[in-house]
Order: sequence, then structure tokens, then C-alpha cells
Amino acid sequence: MPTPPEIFRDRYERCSWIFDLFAYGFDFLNGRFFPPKLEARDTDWDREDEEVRKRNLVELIVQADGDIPVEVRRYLRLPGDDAGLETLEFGLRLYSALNAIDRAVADLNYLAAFVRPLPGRWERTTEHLQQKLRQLQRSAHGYVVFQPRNFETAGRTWYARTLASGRWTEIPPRGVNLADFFQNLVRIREADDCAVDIRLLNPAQDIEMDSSELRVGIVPLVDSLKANVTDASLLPGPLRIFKETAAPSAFGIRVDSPKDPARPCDELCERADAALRCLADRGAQIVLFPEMVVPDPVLARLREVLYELCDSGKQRPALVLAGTFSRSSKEHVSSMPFNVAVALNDRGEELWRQRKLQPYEMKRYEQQRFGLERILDSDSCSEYMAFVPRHLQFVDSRRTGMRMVTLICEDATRAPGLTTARELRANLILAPVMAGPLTNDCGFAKELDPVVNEYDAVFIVANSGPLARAAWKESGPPPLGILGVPLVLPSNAFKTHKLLVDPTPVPGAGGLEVLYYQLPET
Amino acid sequence: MTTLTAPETTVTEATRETRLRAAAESAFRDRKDQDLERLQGEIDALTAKALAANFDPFRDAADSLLKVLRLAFGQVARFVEGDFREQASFYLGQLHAVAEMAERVRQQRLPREAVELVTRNAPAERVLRTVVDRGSIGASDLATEIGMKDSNLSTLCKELTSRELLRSDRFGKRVRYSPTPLSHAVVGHIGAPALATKAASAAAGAGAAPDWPKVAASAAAASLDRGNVLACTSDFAGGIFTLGALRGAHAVVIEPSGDRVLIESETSEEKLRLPKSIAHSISEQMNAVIVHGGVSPLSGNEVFDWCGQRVRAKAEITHEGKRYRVEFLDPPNVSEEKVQTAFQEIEDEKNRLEQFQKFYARQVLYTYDGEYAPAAKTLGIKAPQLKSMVK
Repeated sequence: MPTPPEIFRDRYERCSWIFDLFAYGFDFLNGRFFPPKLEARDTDWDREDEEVRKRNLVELIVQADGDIPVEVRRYLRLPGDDAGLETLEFGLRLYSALNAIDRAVADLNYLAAFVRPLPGRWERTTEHLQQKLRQLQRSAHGYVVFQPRNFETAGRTWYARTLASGRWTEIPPRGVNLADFFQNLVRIREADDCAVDIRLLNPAQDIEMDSSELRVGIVPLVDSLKANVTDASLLPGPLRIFKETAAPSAFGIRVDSPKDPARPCDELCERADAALRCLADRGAQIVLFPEMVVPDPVLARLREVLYELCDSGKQRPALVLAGTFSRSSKEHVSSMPFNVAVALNDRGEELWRQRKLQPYEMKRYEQQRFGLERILDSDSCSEYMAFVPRHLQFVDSRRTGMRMVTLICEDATRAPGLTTARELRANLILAPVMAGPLTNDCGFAKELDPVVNEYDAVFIVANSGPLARAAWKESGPPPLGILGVPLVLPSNAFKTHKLLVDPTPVPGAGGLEVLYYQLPET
Repeated sequence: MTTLTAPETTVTEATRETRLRAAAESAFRDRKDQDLERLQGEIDALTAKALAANFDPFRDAADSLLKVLRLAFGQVARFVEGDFREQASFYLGQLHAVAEMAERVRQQRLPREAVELVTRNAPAERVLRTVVDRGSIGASDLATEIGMKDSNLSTLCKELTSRELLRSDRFGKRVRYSPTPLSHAVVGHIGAPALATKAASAAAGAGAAPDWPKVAASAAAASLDRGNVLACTSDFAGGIFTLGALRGAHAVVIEPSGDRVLIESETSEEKLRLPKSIAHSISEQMNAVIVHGGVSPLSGNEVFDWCGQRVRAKAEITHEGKRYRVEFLDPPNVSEEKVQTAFQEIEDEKNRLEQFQKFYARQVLYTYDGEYAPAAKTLGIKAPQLKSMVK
């Protein structure tokens, strides 16, 4: 709920850091004030902006380097009573002051295409930003961070070209969100059920992508499910679904012992290798592997392939989400492993890891749907995974202006993962899943579509074959991928996503298939 | 003119050293991701400082930074076993640091396409200069000022915005445009129109302090954009400082109104009332140094070289506006030659203006086929005055 006036007043008077002022001001205005659509008020805004200009507030804020210039407080002229704080006049002044802060800080937004912190300007704030790991607030709860670049910047982007191609159209603007009126800063309240970090990629490892196209690849890797007596095989390969514990009922995925210990997960490694090379050759920029099908030997193979492609100068993806698997975390000793995703750059170097935040509970009807009821036989069977402590890692790329996050399966449909990603304006959401068929009405599409409707973002959901095929009753293959973009596809019932359903065979790889899609379409 | 920035204080160095020590200890003791990130954050802060020190003409900032880096190196090195030169991570770390610096430099350099978009498109250049000059302007006012239709302007501004050359804020049905860091950088790069001061702009772009008279000239030239017919290019500020130095002042203070000056010496404080006609120009010249020269007066330690002697300039915010204080750091050294030069500059400017005024009046008279009455009426003066002027 919006901050009560007396609390805002108290915070305002005690506040001495400009970005805390931004936080408090935003919290006070949010839900209480939005730039009005009535033309009659537009002149008031013009007048306030002229006042900001005459008082040179933007430049004064820059020069104050984190302190709050006296002139800003003079301009705001906080009303003496709480009723005055809730007037439109004060709301407009406060909004204009926050707008001035947002403009002033453009010098520092490292996610913009161009920054120019001149010598002697913003020195203290720069240091604060580095030490506080990309957070600008000092005393305010929650976060004030920079906003990622929107897709229209830098001219000839895939976004503009896709729009020009005519097959996708613009999303009609609907709803009002105070965050939309700021271009450099994002304000979010504290997530009290999840630690949040923003990592900045070092330029030596940063990803580079040609922005004139968006080329995405998905490797389902495993195709089918075969129920055995006490487990179910995920074929091809050595993976099996087991019931790990009866009380509480929990399932896990294990890897069969290899025939040759020197070559664990041989078949899966060969499949992953061939699929990645195929997509690299096709020009995929981002490649995703799904959930719980990429154990460490396969991860190692993917890294080798990427390194080899780099070494030989061949084209290769800029970013590979190398699926997830059960892994222990060096920080947390637990009898249960975590479900951990790993992201790699084009040289196979690890960029970040993300643990799953929300357990998946397979209900009985789902067990029936997937052909696993006999094996799991319970009203609700949870993943055999540790989930706490929760930590959500965002990764900022200066080269692409993107804020990236991995939301594993359930995390892509609910708090804290999805809500935090949305608030921090993550504009590349990678969602590896192990789920039923991905349809227009599946949870992933329903929950992620609103994100791309709200701001410029791309989401990619990558599924494996077994559960999807087991539950698929229609003709043809089930959709195993979803690409969501901030555009509307009339041919898909005006959804803001495309179901990826047409597999591409990998040459010489015995039935192995991948999914590939690009925008603008050829 | 050159600037001096005050060196780091030892309190800050000690604080930084303590933070680094704490970050390194927890990072290598516990090996937690968040502690490693924190250590990386401290190092990234040092990288930013190294880049900032690059723009300082004096060694103090770099010396101070090296002191901190030596301490930091020691804090981390004690966690390494054996000869760290044999470890790949030692070289990886160096590459990491160099890449970080290179990226920061890259982000501060102009994208060629953005510059070309402006230099090859006269309306785009006009839009950019106007927005940079005004700081913030409504779409309709911008269209009027540069003589474009609203619809054409909207299309042009959309393209400029998409390249981060403009910022557009929408409020209801109104749109306002304001400059971005790239706007300032591109305008600085392509130089001021007519009174091209490319050296000053390039210097400002690179971060070195610009030549004061040239910056004052470009600021005065910018006043052309506000509809003035003639730009005043005289260095009134320089003249005032000459007077102050002649009277043995240790400081000259220019009041916010621009028409009152205080000359402070050890024994007295003298108030001068300047002609109101130059008040605006004085303020503009001082502001040009503050804004265009990248000086940060509120940090209080910017030192300039004025005609061979050191002066410190700072702006103070008062109830009435900005007051500029210029202190002579060395005993004033005003030779007869300096005073004569300043006077001659004023005389030359006066002559230039008189000549131009005469030329201007004559041309208006020719427009009216030599008829004094209508020509004088257009100029807003009496016919006898016009006759006398063009004789």
C-alpha cells in the first residue's frame, strides 16, 4: 500500500541521500499519483518542468553527488499538513523532482548505450554503486537500481525490424505503472523471502549479440518417458525418475552408473554436443537446455564444445543456459541437493548459477497424466531438493544492456522469482522446465505474458520431451518451447508469445531434434 | 585554463583499506558468493577511481590511488600460497581489470552512427543544440523554435530518442524533450556553431578543463539560440578580475544578479555596481565555466590558471541564486600591459559593435529605398537619430 503521509514526512526530513529520497518519494507516489490523462493538467506539468529547468535542479543534483541539494527541498516546499501532501499539486512537484533525479543519474546508468561521468562528477556515488553491488539506495529498505535498456535503443534492432515485417504488431498500451515514467531508475521494495543480488558481467566475459536479429535455440535433449517397475527412464540416456522418499513423498532424478566410468553420460553428452553444434551453425544467439537433464558430465561437454568453437573461430551462441541438475552448493551443507542452473558464455565460461526457489509438487492427477502414478503413488509428490536459503541472481550485461535472470520451472510462475524479476525489470528471462506440453494456456505462458506486456522483455521457456509427450494427446509433436516478446502475434490468437513446435532434425544424430526460431522471421 | 583537484584524504584511504581487508578476509575464509562479490565491488570501485585519475593533470590522485592499491594487493596476496605468478588466475585477474577499464572507456566514447546521424541531418542538429541549450523543452515549443511541423518533429525526435540522443518524457498529451549524456557529448564534439571552438569542446569532451575565454565565447554564442540578434563576446569577467587584481584583491565575488561585484582585499571590501546591460553576460560566462567546463564548484577545490596566475573559482547557492567567488591564490600580479590589454579589448569590442550597428542601420534604410521615416520606425528610433548614425 502507498506510504502514509506522516511516514513519508518523517522519512523525507531524516533523509540525506538523494537516492533514498527517490525511494521514499516513489513509494509515496505509487498508487497515489500518476501523470493524468486529462489535458487540463498537462500545462501544470509543463509549468513544473520549467520550474525545474529554471532552478537548474538536474545539474545541482549531479554536482551534489549523492547529497540532496538545498534547492531541491526548496522546490518541493513540503506542505505543513498531511492533507497538503496528498494534493495533486504536491504530487506533481514530487513527481517532477523524482524525474529530475532520474534525468540527472543518466550519466551513471551503466546499462545505457552511452554514459559520461565527467571528472569530478558523481565520484562518491560511483564508489557507493560499486561497493553496494549496483544498488543506489543507502538507508531506504528495498532497492534503487538502474533500468535495463529498452529494445528500441540503438536503432536497427530485431524489435524494430520485426515490427516492420508486419507479422507481429505493437502491444496496445494498457494500464498505468508509475515505474514506466522513469527511464534510468527502478525502485522496488524489499523481498523479504529471498536474497537478491545484481552481478555485473566483466567485459572480458560479457556477451555480445547482433541486435538486428533475435535467434533462439532450444535443445530438449531427452525425448520420452518409459515407466519401469520402480522408476521411469528418461530416454535416451541414463536418467531415471525415482521415488526418493515415501514420507514425505518426494521424487528425484538420478543418473545410472556408466558402462565406462571414464565416459559418464556418454549418450547424453553426444546428443548435447551435436545439438549445440547444430544450433551454433544455424546462428542461434541464445540456446537453452531444459530442467534436470544436464548432469555435470554433460555440462562439461557443453563447455568443451563452446571452447572448441571459439578456438576455431566458428560462430557460436553468445549465451547458453546449460539446463539444470541436482547439485550441492558449496555455501550450504544440506542432505538434499539443490536444483541448479548454469549459464555459460560463448567460450564456455560459467557466468552464473541459479538455484531453484520453489519446489514442484506433482499432484496425483499429474502423475496419472505423465504415466508416473504407479511409481510415485501419492496425492502430492515433491521434488527431492533443498530450496532455502533463497537467493535470486540477476546479471547485468553492459554490452547488450540486458538484465538477465534464470527462473527454473515453478519460479517462472510465482513469487518470489517472477515478482522480483518483474519489479527489477529483468528483460531476459530464461526458464528451463521439465513439464507437460507448453500450450498457450499453460502456467508459464499465462504468468510470463504479463511481463512482456508491461515492459520490454524477452522470455524463453525450454522443455524436455518426456513429460510433454506422455501427456500430449493431440496429433503432431507437443510444443517444447515458448518465446515471449513485447509484440503481439495475430496468428497466435494475439498472444505475446510464439509456441515453438516445429523441431529441426540434427543431421547425422539419429533422430535428435532441436527447436530454432528467429525474429524477424525469414 | 587548467584545473587542480584536491588529493584524497588519508581518512578515506584508511576507510577503504579497512573495507578491503574485511572483504578479502571474509571472501577467502568463507568463500561465499556474496563476499566474493563484495570484494569484486571494492576492486571495481578502485577501477573507477583509476579512470577518474586519468583525467587529472596532476599526480596527487594517482599517487593516492597507488597507495591504496598497494595495500589492497597485500590484503589479497596473503591468501595465495606459493608463487602467484605461476597461477593462471593471476593473469586472469589482470586481464579482468584491463577489460574493465577498457569497457569504461568504450562506454564513454561516442558511437559513430549517433554522431553521423546528427552531422548529416541539419534539423537533427538544430533539435539537439536547442534541447541541450534549453535543458528541457516542450515538443510544441521545440517545433516552433526550429521551424518544423509537429508531426515531422515527432518522427525526427523518435529517431533521436531511439539512439539515446534525446530523452522524451510524456505527461498526458504533452511531451517534453531533455538532453542525455550522449546529447551533451555529441554537441560538444561537433562544436559550437559560427563561433566554432572545437578545441574547447574536444577538451571538455575528454575531461580536461577548457580555456576560459573560449568557453565564455561559446556560452555567449549559445545565447544566439535564445533569439538575441547580436551575441556579446566580450570577456567581462576577465575585465572584472583585472580590476580586482589591480586593487590588490584576494577575492572577487560576483553576486547572483550579475550587476554587483564585491572586491575583497585584506584591508577592505569594496562594492561595485556594474552596468545592468552586462549582468546577464557575466552570469552566463561564469555558468559556462561551471556547466560546459565540467567544473564541480560544490566540491570546492577547482583551481584555474588565469593569465599566468592561479585562481580558485566556486559557485555558492544563495537565496537569490548562484554567487560566484574567485580567489587569487597567488599575490595579484597585474602589469600595466594586462590592464591596457583589457581596456583595449573593451575598446575594440565597442568599435566592433558601433560599426556593426552602423552597417545594420544602413541595410534597413536600403530596404526602405532610402526613406528615413519607415526605416527609423522599424528600428524603433527617431529619424534624426538614424540620419546621424548612417552619416
